[in-house]
Amino acid sequence: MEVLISRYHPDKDDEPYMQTFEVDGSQLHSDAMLLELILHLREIDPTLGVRYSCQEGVCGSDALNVNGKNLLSCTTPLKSLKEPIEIRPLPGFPIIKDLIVDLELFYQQYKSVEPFLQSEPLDPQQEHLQTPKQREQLDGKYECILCACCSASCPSFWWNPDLFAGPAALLAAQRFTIDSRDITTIDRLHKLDSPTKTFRCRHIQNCTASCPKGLNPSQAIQSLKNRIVKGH
Amino acid sequence: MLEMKRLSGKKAHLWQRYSAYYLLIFFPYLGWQTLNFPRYADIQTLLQNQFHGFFAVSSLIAAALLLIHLWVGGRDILIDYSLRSKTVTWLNLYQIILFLITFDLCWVLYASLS
Repeated sequence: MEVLISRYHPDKDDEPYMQTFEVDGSQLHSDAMLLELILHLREIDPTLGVRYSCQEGVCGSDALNVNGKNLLSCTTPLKSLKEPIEIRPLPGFPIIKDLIVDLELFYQQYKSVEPFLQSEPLDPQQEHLQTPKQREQLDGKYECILCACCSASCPSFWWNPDLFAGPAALLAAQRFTIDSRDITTIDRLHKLDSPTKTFRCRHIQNCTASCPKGLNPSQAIQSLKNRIVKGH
Repeated sequence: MLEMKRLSGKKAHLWQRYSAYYLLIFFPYLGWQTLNFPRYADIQTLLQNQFHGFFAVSSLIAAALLLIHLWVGGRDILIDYSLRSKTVTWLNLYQIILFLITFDLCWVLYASLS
């Protein structure tokens, strides 16, 4: 099995380069995930930098660009990938080392949409009730694990990562603007009304195609734009 | 001078949509008008026909909306692709070019109709 991995050490290399590994496939389970292959390679070369945690598609820390597509290595079956397998860090973010990228801008954008419930009076002792229908509206909006696969596949985010909120942040924004318990909808929509913040999205739908959780940020952004236009 | 913070999101989005709807109707109509025109007709005759009577209003609206559509589309391209340090300069330059085109169109129209 031929595997090409992008390598970069900030102290030694001027730019990333591809390193080829030959792996004996019989050393891995027949139903192994990509992450197992990467961890196997790290046993061969302990200097390989890779980030992972839960290993079951919940934490979102092992997002990578594999054969040109952003995905989670822990939930991607190895046999679903064509050889040679090209593994690169998520595109559009500064590389810290090898496959590890700096997600600071991504988190800043997420923080900028205030992704938390703003309800007044906020009494932790009291439940904020919703009808089943109101709760149902949040389906497909709250399941994001912040792996950054979507934002890393979005050209608008590549060009302006400090201005454009990106698909993940806008999905979260939509989630809180439609939440029946949130009382700051008008303020939220007003803050999002900017040519660089929300309207930079051109709906090419790379975000939806790359989401490992099957969410649809593009549709959420379209709904958000419609709500900004309507003003509520 | 134009500033980034003064650019609108919602308004630009709406203008781009409405102008697109109008132009979607106007251009097929313009094509149909041109096809039905004699082959030897020059641009002056065509303009005179286009800006005559009832059609003058629809043609003027189309010209104005086309310029607005151009502004929003070009503005978005410049925000996406120009160097951040030069974006405001490019936007101002683009605005001036559109003003010049508007002035030129007015002059052509005046010259054709007079």
